[in-house]
Amino acid sequence: MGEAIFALEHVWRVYDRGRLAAVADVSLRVEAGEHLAVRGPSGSGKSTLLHLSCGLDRPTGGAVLFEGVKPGPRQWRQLRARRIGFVFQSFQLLPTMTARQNVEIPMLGVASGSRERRMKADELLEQVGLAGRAGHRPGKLSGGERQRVAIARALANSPDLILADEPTGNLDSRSAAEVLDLLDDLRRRRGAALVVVTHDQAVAARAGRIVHMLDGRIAERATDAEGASCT
Amino acid sequence: MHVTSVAWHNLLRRPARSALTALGIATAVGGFVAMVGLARGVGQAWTSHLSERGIHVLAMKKGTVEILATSLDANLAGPISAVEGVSQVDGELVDLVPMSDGPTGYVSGWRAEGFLNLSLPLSAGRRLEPGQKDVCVLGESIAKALGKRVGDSVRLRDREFRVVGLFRRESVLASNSIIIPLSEIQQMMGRPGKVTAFNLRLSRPGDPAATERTISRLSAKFPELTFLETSAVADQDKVMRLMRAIAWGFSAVAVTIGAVVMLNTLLMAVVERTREIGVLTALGWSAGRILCMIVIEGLILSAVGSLIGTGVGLAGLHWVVTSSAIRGFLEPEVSPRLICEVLCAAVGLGLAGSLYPAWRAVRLNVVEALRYE
Repeated sequence: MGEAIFALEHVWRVYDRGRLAAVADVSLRVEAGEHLAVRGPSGSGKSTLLHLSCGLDRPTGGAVLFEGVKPGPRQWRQLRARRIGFVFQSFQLLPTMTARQNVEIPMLGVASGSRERRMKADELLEQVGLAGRAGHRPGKLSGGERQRVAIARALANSPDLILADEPTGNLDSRSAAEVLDLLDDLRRRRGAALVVVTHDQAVAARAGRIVHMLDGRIAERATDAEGASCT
Repeated sequence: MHVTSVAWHNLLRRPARSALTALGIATAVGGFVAMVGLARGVGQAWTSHLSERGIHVLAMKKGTVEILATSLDANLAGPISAVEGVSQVDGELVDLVPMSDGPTGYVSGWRAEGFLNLSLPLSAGRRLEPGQKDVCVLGESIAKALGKRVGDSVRLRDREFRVVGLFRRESVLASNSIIIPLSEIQQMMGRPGKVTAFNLRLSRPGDPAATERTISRLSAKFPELTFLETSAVADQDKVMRLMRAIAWGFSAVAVTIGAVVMLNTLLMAVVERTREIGVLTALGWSAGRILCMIVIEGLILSAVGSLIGTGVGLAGLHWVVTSSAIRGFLEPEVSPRLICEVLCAAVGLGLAGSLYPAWRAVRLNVVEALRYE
């Protein structure tokens, strides 16, 4: 077993005074460089699991560990700023800013100097195939291009863990395939762990490991991409 | 790119709303500049008017609310000049007289042999002379405004006064005043033997302790009078104090409205950008940086509004000062102090209008914010 980048140990997240469990007694390890898909229908607790995994939400029971340590809110924020990248379903780019400026946003306060930030943003946009679109605003980009910008933004601080919440949910099948290829390629090249939350079987199938969620619990044993059971 | 750039882009997202908010702030700041500048202008006009004459102390009736409405016995000049430390005393009777040509004239009645008349810096003609009747000396500004020269005549309360001289003073009030013989104005106003105030020159004006001692002696000997150093006249005058209080009151209301306008704008912006703020938190932005971004938005709005407002306020003040109705009674003063006050008001506006929305933003539940539609 490799080194876990993060682990959930009997994690619970309940609402409404315990009457509703979004995540119920979930234990999960994600190793450095691993590609994990969390699959399940809407309302199964996938997004809550993702939020718990990066400290955006706090468990009501159990523990979330990052590299074996249980971070506090301040540490989680620092981890999100420096070691965790986030990709959203609906891109969430700032509409009045250019692609380059959007990529620079996570670097504010992390990378010193605007020149350095600008150069790194250009480099990342080149990596996602948008070198010629750095000066364009999101409104002038296609859905696939916007998600590429969002991916470049997630990679801005060279994260060890990339969390993607339905990254292809708003894309056509061709753009979706391109985005997934890109994410997988970047994960391999950078050695970062990638956790993709999806309800799409095709998206999940690209992962090295899949966990299925239903009603807040991991419903099935983890499987590899071919559907074989794995531990 | 910096946090300031992000704040600037946020404001550009709703350009019309941002512009209207800046306009609201500009109105508040413009009102502040104009009102406070106006109130100070009156005081400044008085102070420079008195200082330029070389007067050190002004004697007025005690409890005076409005100096122009008071009367003192002109014969008190002798006993006052006898007090140790007093060098010269000259009484004058002052009134505001509507002129047939339109503007209101600031008319002073002087004794021909008094130091006020003898030290008048003439630019044309001559001074008042003892025994003369129906003559006047005009300040250059009012002469120019009325189109009068030496030899012409001006009409004051249905009486013609021949212009015998013109004088030049830097002070707006002095330059817009009309000097006539004391006996003439006493007769015109029905106040024979009366003056409005006494102008005093001291033997040792540069010595504050000596000035204080002289004022104490004068106060003890003439308990019915108030003796004020010229620099304190504007501050002590009850009408001017009232005017300043009203100006500050109106300005405070205007600035508060400006702050509420900005509060409303930024609060709407925070609600609209709930999800975006959640995204920024997810990307690792600290609460401090998000707070800073929204406060900067407020400061940008207030800075832009203040720049426009200061310009509009100064233009408004200039228009008021040069309008015929009150021309000559105000001396607009754009002092560093007033600019500092405007800047402080702008920063205060920015902070007051943005801190609560910023606080609301950093208190957002991130998970709920990310799900916000």
